[in-house]
Amino acid sequence: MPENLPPPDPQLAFTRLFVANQAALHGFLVSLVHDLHAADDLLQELAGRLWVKFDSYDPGRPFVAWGIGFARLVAMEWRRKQQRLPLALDEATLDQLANQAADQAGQQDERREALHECLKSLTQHQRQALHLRYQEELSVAAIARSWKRTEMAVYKVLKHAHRSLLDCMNRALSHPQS
Amino acid sequence: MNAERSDPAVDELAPLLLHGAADDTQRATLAQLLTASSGNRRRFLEHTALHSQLAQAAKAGQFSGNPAEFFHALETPPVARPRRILKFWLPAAAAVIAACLVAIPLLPASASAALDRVIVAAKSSPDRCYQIEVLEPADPETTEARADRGRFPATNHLEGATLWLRSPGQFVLRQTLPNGETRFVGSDGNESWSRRGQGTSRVSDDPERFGGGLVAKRREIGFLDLDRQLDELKPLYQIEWLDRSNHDLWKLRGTRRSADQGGAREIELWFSPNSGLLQRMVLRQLPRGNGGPRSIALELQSTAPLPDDFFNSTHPHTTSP
Repeated sequence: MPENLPPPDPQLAFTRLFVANQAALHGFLVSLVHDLHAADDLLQELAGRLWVKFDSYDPGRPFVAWGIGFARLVAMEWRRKQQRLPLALDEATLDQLANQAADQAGQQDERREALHECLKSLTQHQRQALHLRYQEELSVAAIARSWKRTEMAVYKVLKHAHRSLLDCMNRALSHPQS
Repeated sequence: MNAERSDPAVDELAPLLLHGAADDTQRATLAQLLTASSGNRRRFLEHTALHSQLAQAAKAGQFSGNPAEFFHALETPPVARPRRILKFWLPAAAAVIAACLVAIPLLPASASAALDRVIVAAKSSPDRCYQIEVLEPADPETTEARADRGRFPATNHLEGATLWLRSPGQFVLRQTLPNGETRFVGSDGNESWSRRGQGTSRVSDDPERFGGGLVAKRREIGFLDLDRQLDELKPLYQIEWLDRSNHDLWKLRGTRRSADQGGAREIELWFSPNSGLLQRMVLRQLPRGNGGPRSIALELQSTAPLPDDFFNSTHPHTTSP
């Protein structure tokens, strides 16, 4: 079903659409640049580019699909400019990754709802690690210093939290009734 | 349809990469896994999506520093508001967000990106003039004149001094000495010079000879070669936001990573968020060994282009350009 028809004010229409889809666009950017700060910057650059091109947007088409086309360009430009990439990939693999990421972007809302539920299953330690990492934006090394543990120990807590959340979310998405 | 299974190694390596802990071998292994199968790519994308969702939720702004509240907010699904309220709320909120997006679409979000913008702006306006303010004077034992720096060491008379800069490494410092004379110290990048009033310039082919303690040593951040030293801020200092509450002036703080390196212990960069132009630079806890004040601030006065020969010893510097 097409998204709501935009109201006559194009600025308002653009803002509604961008705000509604920015989580999916951010996720798509992270999937290609693998760095949160870079994705934050690129999302702002993307907003500017999409606004400039908004005249050419077909409201009958999903905004996220239109935006991802530009997000892909922005991410690829960023990768070309880096002297050292977080993850170097050959062109074919990068294209495949981008195609799969575009396909998965439409599941953003379902995954977010699943995440709400699955966070309840985390241990207190995992919760604290996620809070320090994402809310306080501490590095793994800083968390390790604060906990008086090794970086690897902190990393393991984060890794188990990720795996636990993903497995729970996938179970919830494959059995939506349960 | 059954999704292709993923290699368990993806669950090991993807979080390592996303949390900045993967080494080169682990990165190469992960790249090979992603090339190998769509199942691996799907699982990797689940990791990146989760990473993005958690970061976005944390940045949404409604979470406090309390982990319990953070998780309460994360775990609470969005409440369906009555349409009547949404009808009035959404256009107002959208208008505000639109104004931000359209008026300032490219503001940097991360401290690192903001520093990049400051660096780019510094390079795009090669000539700058700053006024120096001494925030914390020198320790008494270091203010004593040193034989190798003359009667009035350049570092001891910085309050109210004017500093003109051009990259790379060109500067003119105008300072008032205790005896009432005006002294100019400068370098055109090839030779340094010093002159009192309109007297004869003393010139040295050592570009640092008359800079004294003003010139940063290796792995130090000083302020006479601002562009090069801004480039070095990232590896030498931990950069973070200090203040973004003022729409016209944002502040970054750099904290020296290692006690082994020299330079100021802490640096503040105050800049215009839209242009990246550095308006004020604060250097705190400068090295005692250089003499001079412990903390100073440089306030931007002008970015007007200077004459080509302004940094030469032969320029009269009779009036401000």
